[in-house]
Amino acid sequence: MISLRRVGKRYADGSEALREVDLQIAGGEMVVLLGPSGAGKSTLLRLMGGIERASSGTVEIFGQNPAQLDAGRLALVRQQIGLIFEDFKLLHDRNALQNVLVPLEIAGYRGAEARKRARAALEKVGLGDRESARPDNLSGGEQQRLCIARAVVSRPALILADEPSGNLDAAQAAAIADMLKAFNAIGTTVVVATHDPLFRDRLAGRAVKVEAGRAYTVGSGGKGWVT
Amino acid sequence: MNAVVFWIRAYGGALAQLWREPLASLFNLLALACAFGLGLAAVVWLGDASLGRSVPGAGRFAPEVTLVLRGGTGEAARNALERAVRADAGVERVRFVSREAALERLSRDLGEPHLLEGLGGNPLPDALVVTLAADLPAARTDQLLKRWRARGDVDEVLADREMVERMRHVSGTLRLMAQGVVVLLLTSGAVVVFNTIRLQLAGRQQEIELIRLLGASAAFVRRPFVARGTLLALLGAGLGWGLAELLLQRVAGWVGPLATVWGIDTPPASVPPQTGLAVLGIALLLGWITAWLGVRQHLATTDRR
Repeated sequence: MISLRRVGKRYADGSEALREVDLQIAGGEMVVLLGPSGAGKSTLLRLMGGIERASSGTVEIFGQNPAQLDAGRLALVRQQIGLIFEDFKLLHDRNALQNVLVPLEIAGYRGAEARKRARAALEKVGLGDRESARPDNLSGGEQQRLCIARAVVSRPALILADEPSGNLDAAQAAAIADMLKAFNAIGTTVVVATHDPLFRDRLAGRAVKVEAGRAYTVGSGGKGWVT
Repeated sequence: MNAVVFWIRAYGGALAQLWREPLASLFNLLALACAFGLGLAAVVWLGDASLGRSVPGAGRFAPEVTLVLRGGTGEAARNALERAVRADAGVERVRFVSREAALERLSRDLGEPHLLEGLGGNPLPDALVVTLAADLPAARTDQLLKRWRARGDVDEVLADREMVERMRHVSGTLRLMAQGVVVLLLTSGAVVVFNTIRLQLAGRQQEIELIRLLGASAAFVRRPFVARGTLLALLGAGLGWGLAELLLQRVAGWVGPLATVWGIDTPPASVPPQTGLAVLGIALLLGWITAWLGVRQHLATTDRR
């Protein structure tokens, strides 16, 4: 599903975020990117999401190289990816339901069908009774769950989550981890970047350590990963 | 079918947004109404070369020549002369003014209803008032004047060669001015729409970036802004039409009596529907193009990041 071969990323200011990264992720896998802040986890996720372009090497998402796609085809690739952002990126002038409707509108759904799907997604993340609330009136955990609902509402083949437990307490982080595991259990490929050991332990799957711009598979399973 | 529904929704959203920001919308619409309204009034009043051909009064600056008929010219001879003059290339219109009608008009213009009693008899001759084509070359004008002067049934040709030329220049200059004013005002309209859309885009920068990340195509991002731009331009032009109607009525009220004294056509008091509709069409196109360009430019900058 995702293939990175000898991928490097150098920014305009000359800093090198990634170098010589080789990583293959199969459909239905749960992959956890581990590492401290600034290690390159978020850059790796952005490359996987077609948000940024690699400076060297080849990235393939669903068998397509985003660098070779025109804007229209790249948009179609992005529609198959559910993005969960560390800072949520919610639209504050819209309520919870309207936020979840955004990917559906992009995908061409409308009216009652779209609202039905959006409500189902909100129910799934436990926000069924908060559909009229604006993001500003939701707690951090609720905002994160809303972000997840928006990511999964169009039933993407791939979920990319960047520090989804950031700023959440242990109980909320555990709930988010369980949610991601549930989506993975129904066949969705999930790639999570985190530096939270508790969150990491709760997720089962392959662990990839990202350190100083390099990535290494370090194990699989829950507790006991070598970091 | 989907596209139609999306556009209907986009226009519904644009209308709702105009309603949600009443003050900003009002000022934008007023600016557009001034631009389109003044342009429309200029087109109608001064007579634009492209739009105003069919507008009544567009040719009122065309030069006129008066052929004073020799005394005792009978109706048959006068009709023959009228037919001959009308057949001359470069003549737009021929109007017979009888000596009685001329005296009546003179009495009216001077405000002296008993003029004839004072004069003892009507001293005025019958005449043909000939309107020449506004773009008639000077050489052809001279040729026509010479030919008419040579006729036995024409006593005098009242046409100052310089006056005819001056009128032609005035007509040409006014037409050019009208075109300039129209271009200037349409440009102002386009600038208003463009800036409004740019402000909207800047205000929704985060949202645009997010929906692009979520897979929105350029067309999806563009649609609401193009709807907003065209709606704004269309409503502005509609208000402008109303403004032009008011202006033309006022101007006709002020200039009408003077026009009668000068012997020129009364300026039109309303916008001909075809001209108004043409301006609505132009506004729609202008709104579409400027909004489309605004979003395109914005996306080019955003997507490069």
